[in-house]
Amino acid sequence: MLGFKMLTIPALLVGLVALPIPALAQVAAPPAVTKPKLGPEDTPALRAKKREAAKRLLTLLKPVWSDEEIGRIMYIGWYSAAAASCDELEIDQVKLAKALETFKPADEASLSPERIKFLNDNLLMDVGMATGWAMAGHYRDVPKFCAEGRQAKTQLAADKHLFEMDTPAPAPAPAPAPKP
Amino acid sequence: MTRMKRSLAGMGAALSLLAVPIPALASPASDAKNACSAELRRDYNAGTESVTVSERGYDRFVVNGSAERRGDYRDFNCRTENGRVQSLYVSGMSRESGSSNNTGKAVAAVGVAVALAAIIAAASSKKKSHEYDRYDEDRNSDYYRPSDSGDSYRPAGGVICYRRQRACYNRYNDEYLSGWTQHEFRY
Repeated sequence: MLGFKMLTIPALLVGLVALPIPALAQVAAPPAVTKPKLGPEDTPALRAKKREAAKRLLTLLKPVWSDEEIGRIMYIGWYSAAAASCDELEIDQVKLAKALETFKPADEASLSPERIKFLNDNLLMDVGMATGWAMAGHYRDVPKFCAEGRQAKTQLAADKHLFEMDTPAPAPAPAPAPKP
Repeated sequence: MTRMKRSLAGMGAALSLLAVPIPALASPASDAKNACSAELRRDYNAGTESVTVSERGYDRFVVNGSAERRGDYRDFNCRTENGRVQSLYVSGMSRESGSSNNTGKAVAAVGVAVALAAIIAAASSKKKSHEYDRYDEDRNSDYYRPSDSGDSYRPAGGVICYRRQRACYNRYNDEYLSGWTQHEFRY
């Protein structure tokens, strides 16, 4: 829902001036993923394990969440994993709360407390699992993972990622005026 | 680990914002049925058919019926109390995913996350005779793909994106690609 809201306003503006959406400034395309070469750090078995882990995770999410919600859980999980793995990256709790709030059901008033609890419990569990999955998937390439995280933090607008922004160091206090 | 705890604590705090109790409108019997169906979907990847619900008093129910997984039908017996599943038994069907939610989900989350990490770690071990060594890397696994086959596209080599999920993955190992997701869907 968060992503939808973010897209709606630019899409409407674009519609008004009859420009195609790709005409908007975009994030530079990341490099294509090259087929990994086999080596001790990247075997067919490891790839298969990663796919199996993804399968297990997504199979758990699928019965509870819509496709779009699953995408948002993976998004939160990736940023949480990067923050947990990289010293210089921290999750912005306000952004995280906002991202989680998008999971609040639109028909919440008609849901039983048990159902609401079920969804809350699952959200906590599934975000935790997505985080663990992303951490596990990158534990062999933490420097690269952290570089991707830093890139997101520095190149994306602050409301497009979940990282805490660095607060600039306070300006030094002005020197006291010399006494006459 | 401290950082992880802080992240999870933040999530927990945020989640508490969502935990506003709302008066129940559904009947206790349908709650019991739904709880069992959800458990079956989650832990057995199975749908339900011919479901019957019997009340046992004190908000306890016994739910029986058929669990269906890929055309295989098995009888199931599910007991609930206060809308929560206390036990679930499916004759001759093994769990396909998940864990029992008899205990806290947060505990399960940590356990499953650790299990996922263990899966990856196990792949790096010296044992090379694992059955996954025979895995066909180009096999198209559609276990979680949206059902609409036109939903996916490949913006670049090795990248596959799903419109409804608004997410992109590494086509070779299913890793989530944050950069491509941002590029394609601008979260």
